[in-house]
Amino acid sequence: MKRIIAMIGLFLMGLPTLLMAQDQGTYIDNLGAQDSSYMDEAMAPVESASGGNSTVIIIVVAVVVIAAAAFFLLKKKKK
Amino acid sequence: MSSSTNILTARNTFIASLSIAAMILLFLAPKAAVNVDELLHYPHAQKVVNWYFTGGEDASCLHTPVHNLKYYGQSVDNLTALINRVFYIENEYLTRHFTGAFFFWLLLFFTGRLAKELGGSYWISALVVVGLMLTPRLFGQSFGNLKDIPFGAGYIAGILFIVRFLKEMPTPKWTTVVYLGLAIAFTNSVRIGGLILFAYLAAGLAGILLLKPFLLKYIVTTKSCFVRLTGQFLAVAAIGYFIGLLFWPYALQNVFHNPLESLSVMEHYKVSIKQIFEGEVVWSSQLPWNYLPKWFLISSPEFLLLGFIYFLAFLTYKFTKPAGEQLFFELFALFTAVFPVVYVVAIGSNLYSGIRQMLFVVPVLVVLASLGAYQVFKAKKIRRLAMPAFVVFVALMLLPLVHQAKTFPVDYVYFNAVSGGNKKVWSNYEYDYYFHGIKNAADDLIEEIGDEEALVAMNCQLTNYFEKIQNIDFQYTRYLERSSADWDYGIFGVNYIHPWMLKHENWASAKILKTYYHKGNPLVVLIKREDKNDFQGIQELQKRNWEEGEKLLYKALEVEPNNVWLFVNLANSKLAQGDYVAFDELLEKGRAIYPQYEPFYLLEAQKYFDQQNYSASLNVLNQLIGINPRYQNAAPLLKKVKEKLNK
Repeated sequence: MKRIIAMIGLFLMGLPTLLMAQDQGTYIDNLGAQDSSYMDEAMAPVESASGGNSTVIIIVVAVVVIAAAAFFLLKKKKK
Repeated sequence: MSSSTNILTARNTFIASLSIAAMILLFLAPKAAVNVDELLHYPHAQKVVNWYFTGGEDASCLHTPVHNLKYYGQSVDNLTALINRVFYIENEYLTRHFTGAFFFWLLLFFTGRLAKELGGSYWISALVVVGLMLTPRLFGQSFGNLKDIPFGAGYIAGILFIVRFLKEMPTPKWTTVVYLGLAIAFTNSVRIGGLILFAYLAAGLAGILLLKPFLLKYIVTTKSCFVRLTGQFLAVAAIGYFIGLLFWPYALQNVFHNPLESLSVMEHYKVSIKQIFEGEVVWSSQLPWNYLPKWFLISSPEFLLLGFIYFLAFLTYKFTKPAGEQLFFELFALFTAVFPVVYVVAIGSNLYSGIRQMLFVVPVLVVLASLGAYQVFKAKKIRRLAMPAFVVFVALMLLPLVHQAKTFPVDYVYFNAVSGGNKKVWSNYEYDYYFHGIKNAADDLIEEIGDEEALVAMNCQLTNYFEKIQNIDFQYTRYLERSSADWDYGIFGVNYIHPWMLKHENWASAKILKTYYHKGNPLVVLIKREDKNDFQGIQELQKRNWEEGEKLLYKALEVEPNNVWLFVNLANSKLAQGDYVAFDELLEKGRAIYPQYEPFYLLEAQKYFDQQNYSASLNVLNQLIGINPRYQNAAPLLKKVKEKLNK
């Protein structure tokens, strides 16, 4: 008997929460998943590529390395 | 046969190959498909032309906040808009496709000339023309892609004239100087990335001066030579930089700042596009470093890969001999093919659509491969091996030829034997990203509709197919969300569908009228909507008429049990009513069709939020971010959850 009373009591106490949950039901108007993203930001940090400074460094390093390699190789072979 | 007869025959063969190529291009241009980028660049080109016609009054071409089009020179697109405007041409896309064919022919011509310059024989030039025609990724885009193909033509012309310039040192001809300047100008006028040709000229000069140190001494000590060369460099710089900007309104606003700003924008393009790569969906701004090398490996025709191996073998052999000019120029050409690829990988550029943005290096690769094959053919020391090796190279050309003949106008979608072929690659890599396959379906649908009034939906913006037909209206919708839009017929490219759905074959609508296949793979589907229960049901739900809406959607589900969007909408309805038991059931059934679908995660997170279980909500949202960090619809809920959790 005590158990039944306790359950009814619990149900009555939980009723406002249940009703509140019913009232707070949410309808989401926009659920579509886009295929491309024009200029918008990601929700979480996304790995980004290195910046403009690295461009110059890469070009300079590539040119120097290739020129040096070609120079030494070609000189060596000519001997 | 005398050597002069040989040369004459080779030259004639080159001319004949160019003539046949021209005839093929002229024949195919009217049959080519319109690609999705044309619908982006052509309207912009019309605005650019209007800017000139109105003396700058119509400045709409300078304000392109969404698509960044002002940063493109796109001179060839602009040229087609000008031709259509001046001559009142109605079939605007036909003009574009003939123009594309012309620039592809120029690409053939200049690449052939470069091959002669490097290899010393017109036989190689002829082989190059055939090779380029049989490179589906290049040839297949020759009609509608008016940025990458003309850019490639300018790039290869630039390399050709740089090689000539270097060969003519220390007294290059003025004609070479002017041609070089114009080649660079044209390349820049298409895309500002053509500036790289200046760097090549500098690198080539440094190399030739290292190879021939006496040249430097001669130039410095001979006043007339020094003055002439200085003048020539200034001429190349002035022509190459400024003339290229004349047809580009945005660059003309600030000739020094804006082109460089454009270069920076292009290197790190902000637009991110979902890509299928190695069986996963990845945003283009987050692709792994091996994206481009892998694409070159799987999409280059087999003969090109083999010829390139031959070339590398002979190049390696040449290092054992005393170095000379030949080795230098072959290394220089190799550099112009490899450097752009290494560069974009190194700076982590935003890449998509396979090798499309790097198509301009393909002609150089074809030159090197043809050079390799020719060297094999001519090799005296390996006479027994040479002929079979050359025959294999030529025989491999049949593979792309058969592919092209069978699949035009979707011939650019070529995957080689290394990848396992088109059949194996489908659902693991981007397929018809340019939506060429829509053409045949659109032609059929126009016939099917006849004179009746109809609303046609597509998951791309190829409105051109219907814009001149009075009784057909156009509607854009994403394929999976098609039930939310009002339409009578749908043409959907099998694009932007998750590999999981493709592999489990639960993506196809039950209402499909016809499926268009490409080498056995579904490419496009044509759908007829017999009823609109799905659309009307969603409309009712949006009006909060839960009962009526759900009734219609359940009815629609009976016809289309795999329509995952219906489960999303039904779950949304149950969530709104607080019926969590039914909500969970719908979520489970929907996820059985497409487990990674973002809306399911958002709905689940919203359910936990409504139940005030904020940590569970955050947990689901974190899973969603893991799947798709750019799912913007989850941002407001994420903010609210973090506020509740004081994060």
